[in-house]
Amino acid sequence: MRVSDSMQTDSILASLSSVENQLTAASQVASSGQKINEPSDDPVAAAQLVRVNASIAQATAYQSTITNVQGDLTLSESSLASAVDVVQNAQQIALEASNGSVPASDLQSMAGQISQLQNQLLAIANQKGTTGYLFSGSQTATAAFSAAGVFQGDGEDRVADVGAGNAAVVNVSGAQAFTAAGGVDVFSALTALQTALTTNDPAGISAGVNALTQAGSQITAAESDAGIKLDRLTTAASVQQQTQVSLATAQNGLDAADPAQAYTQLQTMESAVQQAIDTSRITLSTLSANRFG
Amino acid sequence: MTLNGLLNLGSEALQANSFALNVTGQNIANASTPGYVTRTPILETQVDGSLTTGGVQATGVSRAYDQYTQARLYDATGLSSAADSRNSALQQLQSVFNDTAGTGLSAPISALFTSFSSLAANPTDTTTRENVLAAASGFTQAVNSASSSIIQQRQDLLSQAQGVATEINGYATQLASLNTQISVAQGEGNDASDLLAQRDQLLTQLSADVDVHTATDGKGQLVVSVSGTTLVEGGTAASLSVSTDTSGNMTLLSQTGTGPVVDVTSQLTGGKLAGIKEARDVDAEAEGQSLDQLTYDIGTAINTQQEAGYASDGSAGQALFTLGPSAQGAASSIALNPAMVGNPQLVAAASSAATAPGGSDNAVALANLANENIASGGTTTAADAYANIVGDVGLRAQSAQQDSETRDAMTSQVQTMRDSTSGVSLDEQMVALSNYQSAYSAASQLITTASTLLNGLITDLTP
Repeated sequence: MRVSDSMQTDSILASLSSVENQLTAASQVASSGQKINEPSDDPVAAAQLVRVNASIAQATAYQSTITNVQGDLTLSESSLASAVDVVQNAQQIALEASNGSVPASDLQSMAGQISQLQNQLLAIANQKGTTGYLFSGSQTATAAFSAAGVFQGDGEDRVADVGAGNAAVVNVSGAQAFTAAGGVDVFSALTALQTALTTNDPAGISAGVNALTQAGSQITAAESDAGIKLDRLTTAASVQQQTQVSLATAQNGLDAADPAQAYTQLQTMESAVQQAIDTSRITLSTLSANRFG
Repeated sequence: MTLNGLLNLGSEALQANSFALNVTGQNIANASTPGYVTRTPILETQVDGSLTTGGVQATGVSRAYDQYTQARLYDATGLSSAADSRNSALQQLQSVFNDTAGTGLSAPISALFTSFSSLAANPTDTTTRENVLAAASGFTQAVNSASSSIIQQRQDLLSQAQGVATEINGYATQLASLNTQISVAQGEGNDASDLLAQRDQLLTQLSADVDVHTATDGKGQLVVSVSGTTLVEGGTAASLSVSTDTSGNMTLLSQTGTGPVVDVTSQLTGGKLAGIKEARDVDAEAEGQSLDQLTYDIGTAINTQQEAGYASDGSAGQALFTLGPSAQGAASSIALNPAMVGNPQLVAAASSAATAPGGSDNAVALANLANENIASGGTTTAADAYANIVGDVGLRAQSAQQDSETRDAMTSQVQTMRDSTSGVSLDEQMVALSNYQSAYSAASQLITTASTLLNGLITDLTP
């Protein structure tokens, strides 16, 4: 083949620009630590990366939701445990009063204690968490019970997303724990007991003992309901944690460049560029030799 | 043969070799001129009737020109420049969807859905509600800006195509005037090598802009056709212009003189114009439509769910986004519903008026839209649909890149073929130079010898 001078210079230019392009690509991978710097680097992996990143964002959101709702649910559980204590105290007093040998003046002071316990229970039932009143159902802006012990909330479940298609109930029903919806209206029972003590009504006092026994188990049931819900959140949290770990592994596999490989590639390309430059220099010096001297 | 004949012979040889030296000089001078075709002096023996004189004459130059290779070069240049244009446009297009560089939409889409998830956990918290509005407005801004990048790019590509058309018209005028000059020169029997080389180079430059085919008409004039229409015939040039049709697609129009304007878009196959057209009206258009569809799907699904719920004051939910009646243009027009702006309490977390403000059923439903097949006609989730866009734009950019590399390699191969035939080899010229130089020296020696002989004869004969 006849070789003209421009063929030689063109081919030098072409090979130099080709190795330099490859060097740029290799240095981009090595310096960013990412295999995919543009979707065209690997379209399938780039699309997969978008999916994985969306799932990671979701798993992170689920986890922060779980952390958020766990606080209020734990508070509900411990509030209910205190409520059980209060009701048991009231029950003790009622039992003591019901044995018939208590003097009338003591009954009056017992009535006073019951009234105090009732206020204590009211404060517990109106406990507020980060999302508002814990036991008002969906009426989180309204106290669960009025000062007179009348329920002002509703029996609605509040739900939160704790996993794909996994909406967990994150509140405990105040209606079930404290009102007739769960069996006994605890505040009415305490009021009735207070009246029975004041009026020295043995039948009323013994009815109060029964009602408070029932109330105690009713609130205990609500407490264990909170425990079950917390367990479910814990399970959901560990599922999300595992999901996140496996997604992070997937993300790493899709995107992260192997540092050793990237560095080796970079060095290979560097010496390729050096060789291309050396070769070009030789060719060019032949071309520029004075052939006409 | 006389001594005078010998003198004549020497003088002819001087002339012929000095012509050859001159041509060699031209070759050396133009060793790096693009489009230059190596010339070889044509030396012939001098014939005087039926007599053998042994003389030499230079009758002109021959050009090492291969029409087939030249035509291949126009084709290859056209295809590779089309691929280059499309490639550079697509590199820009994919930067709109480059999530690894943080410019994509995957983060704003995720943020939108996860904001509903946080809302479900804490529906009465004003900050959480404000965060929903912030995420929604972040989403609209991100798609607005992606969409305007695509629209702007399509506009830029159109301006670029218009610039190319102006360049083509410049080439056409120059080609027409070269055609005229060449036919005048050839008519007068002159050598038109320089003009021909210039014309070839112009054609090569033209072939980078648009697909070029050349032919010779009945009068021996060069006819240049581009995109299926005659651009230059002899001394007449048509003019091209770039415009848009009713659906906003780029069109290529041709007009000769004051004749009718002809739409030749459908036959455009090569050069920058073809690459620009494909990147603009196929690639960018497709991604723009996908983005519109995705925006519309997400917006519609969220609006519907939001309208099914109730605000924290118990009022019925309103649309979160203002959205047109169809997907067309959705990405550029979507905005946060002005009624919602600054009113976080209107985010519909509850599923009934009675369960407001603490009810979160609707917020859960809104968050769940992330897992539902709300996009692409109810076949994929929003994240999947967006991943498909990224994959698609990546594939397009990748194939454009590969195309451009392959076609560049093809072009340089054809260029090598052309240079192998037509390029100047200085080695060859060096040999030719010393060849003609020796012949020239020998011819002058011939004249000196003849002159010495003549002088001697004159001296001897003079009494």
